[in-house]
Amino acid sequence: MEQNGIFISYDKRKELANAIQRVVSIREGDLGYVLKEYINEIMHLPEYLHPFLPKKTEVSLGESYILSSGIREFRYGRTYKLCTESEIGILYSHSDKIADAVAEHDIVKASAIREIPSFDWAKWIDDVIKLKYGELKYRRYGLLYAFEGFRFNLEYIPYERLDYVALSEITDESKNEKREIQKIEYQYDYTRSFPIVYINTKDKNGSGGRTIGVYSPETSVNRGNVREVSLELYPMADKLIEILKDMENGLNIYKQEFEKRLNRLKDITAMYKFKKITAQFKK
Amino acid sequence: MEQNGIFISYDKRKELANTIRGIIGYQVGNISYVFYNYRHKLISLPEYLYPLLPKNRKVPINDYYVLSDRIRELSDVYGDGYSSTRDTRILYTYSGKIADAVEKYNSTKANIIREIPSFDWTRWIHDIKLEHGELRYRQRLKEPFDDFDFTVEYVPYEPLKGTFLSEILGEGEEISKLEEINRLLYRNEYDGSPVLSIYGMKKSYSGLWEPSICSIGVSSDIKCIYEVSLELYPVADKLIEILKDMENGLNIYKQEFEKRLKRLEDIKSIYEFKETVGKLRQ
Repeated sequence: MEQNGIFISYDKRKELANAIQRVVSIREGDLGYVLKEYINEIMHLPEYLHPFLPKKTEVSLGESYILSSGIREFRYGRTYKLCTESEIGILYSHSDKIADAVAEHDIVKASAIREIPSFDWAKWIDDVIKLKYGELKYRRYGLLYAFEGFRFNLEYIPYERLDYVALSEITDESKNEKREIQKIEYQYDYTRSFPIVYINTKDKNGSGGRTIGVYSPETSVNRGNVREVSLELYPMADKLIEILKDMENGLNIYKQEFEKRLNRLKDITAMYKFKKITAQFKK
Repeated sequence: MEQNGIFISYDKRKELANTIRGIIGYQVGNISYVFYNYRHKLISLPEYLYPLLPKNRKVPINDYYVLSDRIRELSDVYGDGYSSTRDTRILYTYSGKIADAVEKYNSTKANIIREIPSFDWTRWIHDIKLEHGELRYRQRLKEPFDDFDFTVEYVPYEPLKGTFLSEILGEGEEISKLEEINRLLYRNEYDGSPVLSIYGMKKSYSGLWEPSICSIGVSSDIKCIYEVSLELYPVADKLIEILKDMENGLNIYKQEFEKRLKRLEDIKSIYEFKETVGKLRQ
């Protein structure tokens, strides 16, 4: 008698897990790795540019900020030193004014400051990359913060509707609404330092849906997550492997864009690191 | 070309999930439902027996308690002003003495009070030998009614050896490995829902041996039972066998509880009837 069930091939399940893993990976050569390095370099930039002005020289940037050796914030008549995270935001927003003030004392530093806005990916990320099975779009947050809050979000939208068939749905007695994969979201947030991939579904007959999150397999907490998800999504493994590989190709295009600018960032930091070492030797 | 993999039968997976649900389920006809009713009736008993003595009558039970219209706890500072929140337990512990005092005014009530210790399951619950294992009542506390907690342990005659599904599918990955299942625990606590815990020996991915395999409660969502039934799918046949065996044992306990529940319901009905008549007379 033929049994009602599903055959799970070890190899195919593993292939799906590997396809997911490659998208969420933070190993050298992956977008996750490059993003981590890129954001890290940007965040440390003010540290390398310090001091901005010689001692006792002060330039006001606006009603809230003053530029001296570092950038300081005025609040209720008192002065606070900003943390690096906020400092890069101010360097970005007031780059011209800061560069003009710094140029009088250090032209190289001033040029680096003028360059800072060009490191904001929201300015140079192409909105859509057309791929074989879908398109990859950078999702803008609509935030006006510099570097969009150090968050990088991409959406992969398949051209053709892909029915969502999960193992729990076909093996469980509860029959859910028929759904389809709406998009696959790649999210990188510097506070987490690893990407998360969300597979979003929507009901075919309505607006409801569900989201499955796949976390980077490198974190010990989520070690089993990729395995569980690859089992849950096994019934659509063939198609999913195809679109995940397609998405990976798209991510690599973004990666190349980041790498280009990362090289420039590294040059800037290398120069300041070299200066620092030379100064230490002189001492 | 023959493929390397595992066939998952929907029906068998579902059967395993349903068998787990059969044990922890809270539906009319299963032990959890009967047990809930039983405890509820037992705890409500002092309410129906009230008042224990006519007004202005007091009988000391011992240094701590006094019996009047109800049981009161004596306190050095505040006198006898506290009504006991543990009436059932005191009725149980001093049933002979309380019944003697009540008998002078109401022999029906006195008989019921004398009967209370017989409702303590620790007195009549016994270990049961089943087809594939043994069901043992686990006494945790020595308090009357065992703190209204009911825990039984199913120990299969032979430990169940097998593997997790993730172990089969996750070749080369860091995963937990199942060594054996050697104990199933059914726990039903007062104010809690039933929980089925599966114990044995598993090696976690960090290399440590752990006895706990999983715990599933009626409050666990459907997804949890689904995941357990999938993870334990490779041992489904044998596990269904021992879970059904355990369920048979639990049904024997259930019958014991039902017998005494009937008596508790009768007592309650008498007093509810009396109360109604009293109201009608008024």
